[in-house]
Formats: sequence, structure tokens, C-alpha cells
Amino acid sequence: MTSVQPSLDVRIEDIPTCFDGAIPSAICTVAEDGTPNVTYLSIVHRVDDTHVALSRQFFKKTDHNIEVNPRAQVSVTEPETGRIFLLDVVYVRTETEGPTFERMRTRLDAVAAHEGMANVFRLKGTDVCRVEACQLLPGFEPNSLPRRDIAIERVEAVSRRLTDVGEMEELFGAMLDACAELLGYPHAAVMLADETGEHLYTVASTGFEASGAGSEVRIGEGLIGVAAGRRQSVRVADLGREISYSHAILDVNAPDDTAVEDGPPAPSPTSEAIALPWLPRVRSLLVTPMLAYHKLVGVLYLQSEEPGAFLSNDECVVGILANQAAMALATLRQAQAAPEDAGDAAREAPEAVVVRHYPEDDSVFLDGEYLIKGVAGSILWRLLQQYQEQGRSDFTNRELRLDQSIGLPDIKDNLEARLILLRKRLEERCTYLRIERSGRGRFHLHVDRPLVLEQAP
Amino acid sequence: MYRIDDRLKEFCESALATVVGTTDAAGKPAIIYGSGLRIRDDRSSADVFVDSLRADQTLANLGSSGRIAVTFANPVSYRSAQLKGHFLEAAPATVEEMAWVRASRDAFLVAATLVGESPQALRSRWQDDVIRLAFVVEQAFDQTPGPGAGTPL
Repeated sequence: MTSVQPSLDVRIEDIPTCFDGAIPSAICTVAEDGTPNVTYLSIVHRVDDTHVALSRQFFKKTDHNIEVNPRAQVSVTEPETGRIFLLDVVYVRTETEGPTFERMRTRLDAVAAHEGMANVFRLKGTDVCRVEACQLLPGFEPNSLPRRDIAIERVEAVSRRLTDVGEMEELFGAMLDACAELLGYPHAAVMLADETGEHLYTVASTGFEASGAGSEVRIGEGLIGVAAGRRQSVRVADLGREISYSHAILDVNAPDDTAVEDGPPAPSPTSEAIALPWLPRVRSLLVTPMLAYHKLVGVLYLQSEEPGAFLSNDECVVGILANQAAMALATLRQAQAAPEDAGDAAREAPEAVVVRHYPEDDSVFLDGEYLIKGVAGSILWRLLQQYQEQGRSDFTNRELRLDQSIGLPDIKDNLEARLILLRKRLEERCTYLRIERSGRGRFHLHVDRPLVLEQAP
Repeated sequence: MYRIDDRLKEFCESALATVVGTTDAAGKPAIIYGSGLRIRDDRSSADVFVDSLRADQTLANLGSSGRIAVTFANPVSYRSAQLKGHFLEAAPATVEEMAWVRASRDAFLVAATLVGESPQALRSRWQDDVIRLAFVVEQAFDQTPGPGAGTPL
């Protein structure tokens, strides 16, 4: 045969996209009797510059072999170029807890949850291995891809902008602008945790066909809900491939009674589910929890139709951004205070709109069309009642915070976010009702048609 | 002696994503990507094709330990299986064998492109200088990811 080109030693930190799971890897181990075992592996995780982690799920023979002979060879592929690298690794330990295990477990569970497949892919452990050699296969272009790092100065500029915001809506705008302009990701959404800590609701988004304002996710359910519930970022390089992999496992191995569950829970009879802002052909996804003072404030999520769009460095930067925004949000909530204001006159409009309120979930329908529910629904109902009964159309955040009829003792924390959400839903769903800011902590309710308020039993 | 039935033969020759594992005498494993796995008429031996430029370690291992494992997977369904056995011989691929290998690689390209991999990146996966590795099949295992992985076939 022919002579072999010298293989290059490669630093694993220089080939980060090989460890994103976009293209399956292979692993070869050797049994005590000298028989090799080779199998495909969904993803090899990079732990640090000299260690990788392998998921312990279904690899009975691999697991056994590694116990008797700790040496393995692993192949990884760079998705952009197809370059293949061989890693000689030595098993060091199995982890069943800790940051690496939690990161891998959450990623696996989040993708499974996206498909309604809870408890199918239990991660038994992660095998941490030391990398002793990393070589590029002969015949490939030896020069590495230019690294796409985010300049630290730009991160600092975003950070400064977040410290300058004085209002919640400005903060959401700054977060989304940072994703689009500084990081180059134009499809992003901010969801906040509600007062009960059970749901996230979309309060701002950019780059999607529909804003999805008011759409909800139950914490702990679905891809976003699992990431939020575990307070762990989840980065998926190719959602479609991972879903196919999940289905393969389920189709071949699941007993008949382990059918794929239905998707998200059905909306209540009085409301309709608002769709999450979601790209129709999403391939890459990054969900980052927003954490402040030991609490989950919300999540920031990014999507792309390109596979492998989000790199591990991006995940770190977005994590910093999300947590700083969460801290800013917490501070803004504490600082909320507003002066009082007087009322205004109502307007005339040609045709009456029937506004129907269902107390069981505070959902509000306009002429039979679902608008909103929950706290935002309760706020709107209260505003419209006062408009109708007292002719008021100017309101303050403060009075709403003190209004017991809205019914939630913790509303003060989320009032401004709810008003933003309500304003967006009104903008999207009707032309005759809108809310406009009229000063710090004040807003004006515009009503361009007569209203008939109906309280459902 | 293990005998490959029609069903397994059909899957071996259509699974497309192929990887070969070997070991040196000291138990140090090595991987090489393959293509064109083909079961011989005796149903107990097979040929798999690898890039000769990348096969030095594999050939050395086969010469010393003689053990070989070949896993093949459908890139769309992830169904996969593994054959294990002993090395018989290595030889440059013939013209007829190269045609078989090219057809197999083309089919892999189509399947992998279907699941979203970049065709441009995939093309660099193989080279034109190919050798055939022949081996006796002694065991076969289901390798499809899931709790059934590793079950003997």
C-alpha cells in the first residue's frame, strides 16, 4: 500500500464543534480475551482540555470492557469540514452526580421531553476519560478552522448596556438586541417564571414570524421546561438528528405500553394555547436559565435553522448575559414605584365588543376569540371594569399592585412584565384596545369601541 | 461457525455507515471507517473496505491480534449490528469491488444528507485508494441504541 502522512497532534480545545453531537462518533474498546468491540456513540462531551465524557446508557459491552481494559479509541467528526480525529483515551472514573453529569443528563432529558418521551433515556452515569492523544486522520486538511470567538470587549459593551436600563421593557430589548446584533443570533425569546413558579410565559421575542407573547411552558415539561426546571443550559446542535435517534431507541426497544406521550397538555376549555415563538425548521437550540438570588427568574432561548449554530463559547457568553439580565430584572422589580394620576374620558366607537371573563382561570375572550388568561387576564378585566364603571383610562402600576381584586398577593413582582405581555397581546389580537405608557409607572388604556363586559359563571 | 442468514446479510449490505475496530496485542484499540461491507457466499465470512492510506495501524493490529469487529448502521433509522471475527487477508480492491464500494458510498451520502449532514463535508470521509479486509464471522450482535443493544443475533 502507500506511505502514511504524519498525523498531527491536535488540541481538543481547537476542535470544539466535534463535541457538539452534530455527527455520531464511534468508540472501540477491547474485552479481556482481546476481542475488540466497536459501536456508534451519539455524542462525546468535552470536559476540559484533557478530558472527555461518554454517556453510560446502553453500552453494556463497552462499559464492561472499559472496566477490564481502560483504553479506548474514540473518533469524532468536525461537522463543518468532515475532518475525522481519533482520540486515544483512558477511562478515569464514572460520575453519577456533579456538573458534567447534570449537564449531560439535562441535555438528554430535555430532548426526550421535547418529544414527550419522559423516562426513556435514563443516564446511568458519565464515564470521564483522559485524552492521551488526538490525531487528525491522514488525508485531511491540517489547518484548523478559524475560531469564532466573541470579543470580550463586545461582551463588556452588552454588560454595560444592561446596567443602564431603567425599565423592564428596555431590559428585554437590550437582551434581544445583544443576541441579534452582538452575538449574531436573530431568533431569540425571553420567558419569565410566573408567581407560582410552575410556568414560564413569553414576554419578549425577536426574529420569529409570530411573537408568541403570552405563550406558556410548564416548568419541568418539554425542552425549555426541563432546562428551566434543572436550572441548566441546554445546547442542541441538531434537534432533528437527536429526535430521530430518540425515536429509533423508542421504536426498537420500548414495550408496547411505552407509547410516545402526547405533546404539551391540552389547553383549558376556556382558553387556547398560544404557540411558542419557534422556527419552523429549527436545527440548533440554546436554552439558558436566567438566575438571580438563588431563584429561576426565566429563560433566554435562541434558535437557528442552521445545524451547530451555537458553540460552547456562545453558551458561556449567553449564560453570563442571562444571569446579568436576571439580576437587573430583580433590581428593577424592587425599585418599582409610581406617582398617582387622574382619570380621562372614554371614547366612542361604532360597534360594541363583547368582553367575556372566565374567573376559573382569568381568561378573557374578545367577541369569542381567546385573548389572554392568568394574571394578565385578571389585570385586563380589572382595567376594563374600571373603564366601564368609572370612566377611567389612566392607571398607575402602584394602584394595580395594591388592588386586591386582581387576586395574587405576589403580583407586585411581575406586574410590569404582565403589562408588557398584555400590551403585546392586545397589539397582536385587536385594533380597538391598547395600552400605552404615559409616564414612569403610568399607562393609558385606549378603547376605540364600546364594550359589553360579561362575567362567565 | 456462525452462519449469516438472509435477513442479516441484507441489512449488512444496506446499512451504509460502517466502522471497523481492531486491537494490538497489548489491547490498545483502533478505529477505521469502512464502506461496502459484503457477505461472501459461504455466509460465514465477509469483506469490508477501508482507505489504505489510513489503514497502517489497522493492518498492524490485524497482523498481530487477528481480531476484528465491524459495526454498521443505517444513518436514518439508527438500526445497527456488529459482526466479530478473525482476520483472513487484506488485498487492494479490484475494479469490480471499487464499483461496489462507490455505490455503497453514494448510498451513504444520500442517506446522511437526508438526515442533514453536509454533503461537502461527507465527501472527504473516504479516499480512492481502497483495500479489502476479509474476515471470518464468528459472532453477530444487535447494536441498535437502546436497552437491547448487545443482544446476540
